[in-house]
Amino acid sequence: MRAIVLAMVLSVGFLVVSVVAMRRRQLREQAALLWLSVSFVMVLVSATLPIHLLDRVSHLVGIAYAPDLVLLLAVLFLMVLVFHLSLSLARLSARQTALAQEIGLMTAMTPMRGVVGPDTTEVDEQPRGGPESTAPPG
Amino acid sequence: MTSQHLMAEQDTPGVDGATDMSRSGDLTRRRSRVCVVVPAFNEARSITRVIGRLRMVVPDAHIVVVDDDSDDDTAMRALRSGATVITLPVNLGIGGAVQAGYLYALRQGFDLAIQVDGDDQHDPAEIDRLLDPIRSRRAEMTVGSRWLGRGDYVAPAGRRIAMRLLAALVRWRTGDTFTDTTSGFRAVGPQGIALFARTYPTDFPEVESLVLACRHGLRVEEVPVRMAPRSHGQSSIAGLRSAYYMARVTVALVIGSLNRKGTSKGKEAS
Repeated sequence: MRAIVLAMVLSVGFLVVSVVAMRRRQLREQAALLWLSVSFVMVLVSATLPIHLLDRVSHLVGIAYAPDLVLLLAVLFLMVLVFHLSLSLARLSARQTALAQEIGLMTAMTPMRGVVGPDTTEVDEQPRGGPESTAPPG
Repeated sequence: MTSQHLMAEQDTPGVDGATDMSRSGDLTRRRSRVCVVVPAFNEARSITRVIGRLRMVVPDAHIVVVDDDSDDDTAMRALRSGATVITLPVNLGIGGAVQAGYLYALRQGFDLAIQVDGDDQHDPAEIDRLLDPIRSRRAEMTVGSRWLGRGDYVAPAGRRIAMRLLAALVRWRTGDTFTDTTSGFRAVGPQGIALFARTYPTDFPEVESLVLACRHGLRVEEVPVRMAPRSHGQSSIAGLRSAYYMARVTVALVIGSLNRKGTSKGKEAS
């Protein structure tokens, strides 16, 4: 009986945390749905401990030891999740690169004529003092 | 060097079609519009000298320094030396920085873009040699090679072996032999500017972008150039990082080979 209490506390706690995060809009709808479903599955498994639902299901799919089923599903779930996050990360960083480049182009600085200072004294041989490139071309 | 790369681009009119047509006349003119892209990360010590020499050797070129979120005053020094400065708000690494330069060149309508490192390794005096094959329409892209007889650049044995391996990989992917696949001293014409503005690899881009250009039908020619050893600091690729570098580049090229006749990036019509 202690096991079911512990399981219920954990899974209901998880449910509460995800609902709170959703209410604060820290989760996007897609992720919110995912975590809600996960919480419900956890609650379901905990609540059905007394009637051995988990054991029956694992027997049904031919797994003798019920915790193995849980472990298998958990690992699979996490693998898929991490892969998905990895894809999202790549997409985000591609977007971030594009944005950073755009910002760089928008804020590009061009030297003003005459301001090109003492740093360029070593190129005095040049006929004109000012840079050819005072204004951005085009 | 470019025997097998006459495969036409089909669905990217911006690369071959419009761009080429509208500017084809300018290329052969002596005064085509040239943009020198200088990616720089914490190069305050050398950037002034690099830009000074560039302005001396190619006074008609437009020099744009891409400051990759440096911690030092690379950007201010570059600006004071007379270069246009693109300051990236976050560090993107060499690939992202170089691509920003090509984007600039594309948007401002340049005909030719040259990539020169901000660390004084590349001799601006060689720029004309890089531009000549493009101007005379023998190639759409040139790569300055330090192994073709000019200059007396020496690399440590380990690095030479790595470079051999990379050259072999590139030969496998492109069918062409390049001696200096990691050279960042390059020039491209309008097609190359458009291609690189749209697609450019991120972390260790030199080898991959070379293959990218070949596989998009650009004729790439190697040009012998002098290169100086670095004037200060360390190569960004040393020690353990070089093993990582090799692994990354190899994986990128092998994965790239998987969509040889595929859909997404391999747009070659075979």
